Amino acid sequence: MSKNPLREGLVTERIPAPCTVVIFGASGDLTKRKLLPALYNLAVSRLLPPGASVVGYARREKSDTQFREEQKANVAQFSRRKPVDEAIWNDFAQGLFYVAGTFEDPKGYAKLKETLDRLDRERGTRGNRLYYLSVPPSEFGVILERLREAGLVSGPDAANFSRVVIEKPFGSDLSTGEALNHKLLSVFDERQVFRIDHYLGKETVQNLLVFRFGNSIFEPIWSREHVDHVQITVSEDIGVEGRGKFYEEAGTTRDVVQNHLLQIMSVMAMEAPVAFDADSVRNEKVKVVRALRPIVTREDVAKHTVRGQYDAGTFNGQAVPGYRQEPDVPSDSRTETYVAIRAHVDSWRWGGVPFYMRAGKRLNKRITEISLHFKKVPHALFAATAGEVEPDVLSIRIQPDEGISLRFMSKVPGPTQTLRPVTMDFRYAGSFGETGPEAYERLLLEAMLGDATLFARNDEVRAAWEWITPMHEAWKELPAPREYAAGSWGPQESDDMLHADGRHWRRL
Amino acid sequence: MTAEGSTSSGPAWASRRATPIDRIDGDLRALWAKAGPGGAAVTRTQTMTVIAVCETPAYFEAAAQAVGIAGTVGARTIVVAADEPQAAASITTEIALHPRDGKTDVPGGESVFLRAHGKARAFIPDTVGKLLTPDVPVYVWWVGDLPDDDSLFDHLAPLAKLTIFDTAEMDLRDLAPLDRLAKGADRFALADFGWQRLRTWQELTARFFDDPRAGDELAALDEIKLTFHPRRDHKRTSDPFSNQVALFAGWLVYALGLRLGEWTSDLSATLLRADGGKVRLVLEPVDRNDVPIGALIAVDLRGKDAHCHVGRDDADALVICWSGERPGMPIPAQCVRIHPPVPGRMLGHVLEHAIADTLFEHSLETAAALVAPVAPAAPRKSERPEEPK
Repeated sequence: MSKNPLREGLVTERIPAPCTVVIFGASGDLTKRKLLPALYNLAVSRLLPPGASVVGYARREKSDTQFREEQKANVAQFSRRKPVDEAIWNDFAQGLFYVAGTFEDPKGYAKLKETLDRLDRERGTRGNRLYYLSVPPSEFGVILERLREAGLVSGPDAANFSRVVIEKPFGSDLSTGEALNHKLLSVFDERQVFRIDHYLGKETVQNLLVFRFGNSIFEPIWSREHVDHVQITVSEDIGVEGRGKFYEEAGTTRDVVQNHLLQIMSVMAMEAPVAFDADSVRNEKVKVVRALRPIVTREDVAKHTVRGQYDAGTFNGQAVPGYRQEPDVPSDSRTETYVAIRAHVDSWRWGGVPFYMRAGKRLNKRITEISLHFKKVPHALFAATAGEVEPDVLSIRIQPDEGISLRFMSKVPGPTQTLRPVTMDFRYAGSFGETGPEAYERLLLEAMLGDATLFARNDEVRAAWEWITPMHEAWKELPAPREYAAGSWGPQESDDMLHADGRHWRRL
Repeated sequence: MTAEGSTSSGPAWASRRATPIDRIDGDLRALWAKAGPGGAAVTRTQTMTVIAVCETPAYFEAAAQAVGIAGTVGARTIVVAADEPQAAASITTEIALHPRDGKTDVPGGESVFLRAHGKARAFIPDTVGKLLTPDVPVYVWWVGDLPDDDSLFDHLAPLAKLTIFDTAEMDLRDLAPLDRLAKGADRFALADFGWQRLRTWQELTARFFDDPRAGDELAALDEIKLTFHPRRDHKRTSDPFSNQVALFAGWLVYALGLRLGEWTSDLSATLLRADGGKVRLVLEPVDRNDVPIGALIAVDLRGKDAHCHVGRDDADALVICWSGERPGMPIPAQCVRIHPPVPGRMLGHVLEHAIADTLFEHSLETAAALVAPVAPAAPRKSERPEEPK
């Protein structure tokens, strides 16, 4: 009897095989705020396999008991479920372990191997490991190399699995992105690499696929035939929050556009995949990024992009500093905290449809949204009484208040043909009672299950860098980013870019 | 069935108000139009209609509370009960909105409450038909005993995509008629809260055998022992064990390809493997007052060398722990928390996965056959000899 007959027909959630999650950088903020709370919530949701174990790896010496106590406090503070369920925590905590070591020292990896082997014996984790590199990219290389040297990586076709999860940034330009990829693929096979982009773990992004390909009425109008233009906004109301040093190296384009924004755009613009599996979906996504019209020359970059940097202003009635006054930011910084791009996807479906993308910090609101602006009606039937008829807009809100709205024209009741835009609104919170899992819960579970559909593939990352890098090069020779007041919607030039096309940013 | 919470306090739109039958839709629209903060309109999402039919009027209030809690998915819920058979024919109707997630001040669904008096019971199907939301699925929750040649059920069930029962409210002998109902239902599927309560038990039991090396142990199983909380007077009733126990046993017997050899007592039977080997089925009543009557307390599967145990935590009945022994293979214990098995939550879970469950139907069929020797099925009303007047 090789197959488990008790699984036949059982309506259960997908549960991964027993495994150990090894977190490098276990003392860091991500572990504290996201990873451990996410793993605990998976345990509460009954989605962790028996024997599931977590090994924290970091420099500081501490015992398993100390690590468990620290993490309990973190979970109590940051978990979406409060208070901590003692019975579940006690069970979950039995699988928490800690290994002290530096990322360079082979002795640390020997201790790690010893621990992992012991867990295989005592907790039945069967040699399955998920390595989560919650560390700066500069540390990736040495960790990967030491893992290989310590014999902690098994091949993609082995009976037990070894997988690695890495966080963005996946490099800082095409060449560093390629170098990182080279390092990863010298130790792991692409099938074992999970490049996390937490936007792909959001329910609304996943729902975009269902919305497009689970309904028959939207796909026929999802093209140049009916769509005038597309707007994508990833707006944050906070500043760099003490991460000035990081932001100086990244800027908005590397921090948001190269990953989150292009990932959202590719899901929105892709063709229907032949199947809902990792390769089929990612094959279609990468085609979108490859079809982005290059913006290479200085003239093109100046024409199709706007960069901004926030100046002092007010937010929620409080005075807030400008970017150059933030800690660790030089007073002559040329790093962009805002970028707007006029892009074109040169494909049969999207030929001639501009994609206006903007992302930034210290903007008026925290909101991530895609909106499809449909073409005007071909004949102004109601022009005499109603003036110009506003085009229909379909908007997909990714955060906050996830949902989908359709704006269309309606007649105002009364004897005259007066028209007014009205909105049909679908809100996730209103239609589905329970709050969905956090993005990290979903993504950690998918990585343990080995399903890479919601993770970026190396060719997607490469294509994104190929498109972004020439802009970065050209910006070095162009004027510094334009200032915009904190709490505004970005520099005037961004509005001007759309006005030049007879369009305007959607008011959010 | 017990009530959960109350909607008596809270915003005005959550309180039930009498409405003439022909103004239900209009009055509900009016409630939505001013249910938001400061009297603003609230977007009304309609994803399904749930009809809760209370077989006994005593269930009405509890069912009304349950649908309010479960109906967080933009549902219109219609709670129906017929009472006072001797009264003059009339129908009273009330409406209310229910909170979005059971606790906020924003409505997430709407409820219609219908009470038919006297012969007006016959008008219920027509009245309910007028209240169905167009183009969304209908689910019927039959609250209480199994319908016994009930014309109301015969009218309402075909409207439904899924008809929901609770076998915990039924006797062992009802499993056979429920199985017949499942087989005869070609337009709707059946769901059961009792089956829903078994999901965690099934998941944890199955988990033991996920390891490919453990597969052979199932083929060499010697004993299945199910421990449950009995009725206090279980030795004097016709039901020696509960439907929950029967369904779980039915599932194991079906999934493992076993068949009944014989009952050696009311609480033990010999099952036969396909290879002719014998498996002892032991049903053990153990008093445990912090769980509902009939609820499982533990599952033990034993083979020659291996033992799988799934059982409730001694201190907390809602924590189920999993442990086992297997030579040469580590099996760390694992505990999970289950939700309180209250009707509102059960209904919510069933509606989340509202699809036909063929495993339930097969397990029900197996359970009905398994219990037939110890709890023979009662004849339906139409099959019973007429009582002398």
